[in-house]
Amino acid sequence: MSFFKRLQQDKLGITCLLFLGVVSLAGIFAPLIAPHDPTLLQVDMKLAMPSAEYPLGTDHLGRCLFSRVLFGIRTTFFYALLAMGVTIFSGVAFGILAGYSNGRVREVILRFCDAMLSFPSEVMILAIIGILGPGIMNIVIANILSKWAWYTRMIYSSVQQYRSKNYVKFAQVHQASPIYIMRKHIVPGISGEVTTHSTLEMGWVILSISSLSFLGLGVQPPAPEWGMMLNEAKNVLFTHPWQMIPAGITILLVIVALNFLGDSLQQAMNSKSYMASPKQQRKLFRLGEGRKMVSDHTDR
Amino acid sequence: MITVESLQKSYKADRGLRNHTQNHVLTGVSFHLNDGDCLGIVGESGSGKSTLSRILLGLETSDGGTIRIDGVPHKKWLKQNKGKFSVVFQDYRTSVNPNWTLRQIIEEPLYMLRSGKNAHADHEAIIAELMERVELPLDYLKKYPHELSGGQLQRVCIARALTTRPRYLVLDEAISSLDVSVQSQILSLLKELQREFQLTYLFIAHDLQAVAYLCNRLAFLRDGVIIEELDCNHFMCAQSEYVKSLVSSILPFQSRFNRTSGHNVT
Amino acid sequence: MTILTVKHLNIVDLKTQRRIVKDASFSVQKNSCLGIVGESGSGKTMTVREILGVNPRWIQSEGEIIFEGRNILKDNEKQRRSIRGQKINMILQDAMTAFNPIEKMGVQMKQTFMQVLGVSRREAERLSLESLKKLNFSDSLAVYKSYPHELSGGMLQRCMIAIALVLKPDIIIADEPTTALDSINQLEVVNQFQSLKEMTGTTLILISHDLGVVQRLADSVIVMKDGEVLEQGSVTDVFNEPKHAYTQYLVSTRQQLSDSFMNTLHSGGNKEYDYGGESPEKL
Repeated sequence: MSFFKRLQQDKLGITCLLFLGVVSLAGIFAPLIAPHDPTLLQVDMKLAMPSAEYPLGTDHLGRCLFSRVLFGIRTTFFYALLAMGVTIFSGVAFGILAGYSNGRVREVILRFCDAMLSFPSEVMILAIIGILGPGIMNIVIANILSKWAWYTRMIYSSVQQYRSKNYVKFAQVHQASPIYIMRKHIVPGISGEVTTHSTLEMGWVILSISSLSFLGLGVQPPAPEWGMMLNEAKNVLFTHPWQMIPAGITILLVIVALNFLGDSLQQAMNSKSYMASPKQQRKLFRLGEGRKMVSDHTDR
Repeated sequence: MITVESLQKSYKADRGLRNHTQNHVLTGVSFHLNDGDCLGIVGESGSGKSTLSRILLGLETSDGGTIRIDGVPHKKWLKQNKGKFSVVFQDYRTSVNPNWTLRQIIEEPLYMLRSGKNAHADHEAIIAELMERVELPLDYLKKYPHELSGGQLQRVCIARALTTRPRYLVLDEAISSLDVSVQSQILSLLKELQREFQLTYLFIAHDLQAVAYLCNRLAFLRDGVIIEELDCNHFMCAQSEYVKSLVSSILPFQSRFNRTSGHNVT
Repeated sequence: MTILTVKHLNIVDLKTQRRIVKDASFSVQKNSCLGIVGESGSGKTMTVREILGVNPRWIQSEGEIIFEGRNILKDNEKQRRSIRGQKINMILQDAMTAFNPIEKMGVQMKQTFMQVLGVSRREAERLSLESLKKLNFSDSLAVYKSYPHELSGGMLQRCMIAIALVLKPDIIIADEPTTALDSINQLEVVNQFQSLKEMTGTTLILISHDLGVVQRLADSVIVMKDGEVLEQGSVTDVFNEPKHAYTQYLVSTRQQLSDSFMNTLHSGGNKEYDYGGESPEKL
């Protein structure tokens, strides 16, 4: 079964993919969809429960929660996308460079990675924020700096694996240039695992941005951001518990969707984890001599 | 003609913090290969066969000794004669890109040789001819490697190796991973192809029967040197104990069954 | 006397949704050697693994395997485990991966005996050394003290046989024991199995796709293809008068290779040249 067929059969994976697509579109078209200006204060309407006019209610300053969540997509989701994109891209670039160069260049890159990897990433992020100061862009930079080394190492070992394959050796015997091999064999080969890791990394970055904003180190008010919304909601947690729900549930749903999608992609790539359902099992055993519903050729 | 003289190769083996020993894999391999020959290089695992094959293919550099093809140093010759030196590996599963169709796989050497322009039509003809020669139906070209059996996939690898009309073909344990019945089919195929395409084979193997079937000359590799070179018809002239014991340990198969004519390809 | 019977065995792989073994039936006589011949993908390994009960959970089976008077397919895991190793032992195909690479051979043998037989460490050590000696190693003490990667494929196979010898199982299953070996090592292992048969009278089930090995060791043979048992009978009957077209094909292709080698050998006119496993000392 091919990769796309398996993915199609995975209803959960497709659902998650669609959900994330909807979220992205909502973020892009936020100005058109949002019923109110997310920064508009309506103090007399503060802490309202959901109604027709305010679909998710209002926060402690009377701002529409639904609009804030929508605009928050731009802050949290898209900046996370940026951080993930740059991290993965630099990981792939350096990983391929290290995997394909000999001697000095490779050693320098790998030793540098080792040094970076010896710092715990969370502490490193905080330290970088401490140096650069709070702000959403600085969170992005901090995430990139603390994560790229891990991806470099991972892509490097993948490249090593591909280089040892006989089809790469065959191309080398026919005097193929390293660029050709990278272009035709290695990059397509690693694209699968890179995609999977991208989704999982997104989840991590969203959590990072939200937690740092929750701590006050990210975006500054009045910009809408999910983590910050949680921060504001915690002050009225016992009197107005609903305030935590919009941002909290959104973060939860997005990260869960990303994780499940990552799992589905991994499973779809790895044919070994596909199992027949009980109904299909019964069918297999009831096969008689003449009726062959499955292929006879067993490939091991 | 390929001349190999005193080839040496050793690897550093780590045996502790300060104790680096040199693992001498090849300590002075010499042999020659005439055009039209089929030279079999026989040796156990650990004798240095794989190292020798990698050096010959240009994948690794030797530490000492020379290889000359038609008098030209071998690496230079390879660069000047792209596609004239080809290889079929033992592990057919990793010899092909699993995400490519058979057409892409077989076309690859041609693609690397000429870059685009009106090459496409010629490629079609060459690919079709080779598929026929290795006895695979043309409609297999759109299949993927995992849909084929071992024997079929190895045929694809052979077809791919021949697209650029090489002069020399290295068969690096090319049949060792196949079932015995499939092995004899592939050996027959290789024999025919050698005649038709005027190839020179270098057959590296550990199975003496297979080598004796295909080759006209044998070289026995042991502990990093060629201990003996024999003509295939003169097994009894073997001098070394090792070769004699190798030959005598072949298990024959005897049957009163009368062979019937050809069977389907697997 | 029949020691093991397989009746209408069907094995299904749930992951690939294929039936791997279809309605296989055969029996094994005590103190004899059954050869299972077939190419890769024929289902031979799956069948014997089902006899041992070591298939992963996505391999399901139906049918009967009668051993010691009962259908062992219906046994629970505890009962299967009591049979495995002690009553039915298996010698694996890839000897290198059958042993723990970070422990010495002697230690692994000792551990196995202590675990399965429940003997003391001293007794296990004695048994290990004794059985290694029986296997005609030129230096059995050196083998005892070596790591697996320091031994050749043939030697590792013989170590597995040494372990099997001590455990004295009723049935030994050898899965392609000679496939990964070159001819000198192959002969060693084949001879070893022959003396094993003579020494202990154990029943042997030998899986191989090399008919030469099967002809040398087996008394009866079954031919499998694509999960079905196509032909069975005594070795002489099946190899001299194969009835099924596939068996004929296997026999003729193997003959072809053998014959051409013999022709090459004799083409120089040398009749003194011995082959077929006569000991090298004769030369």
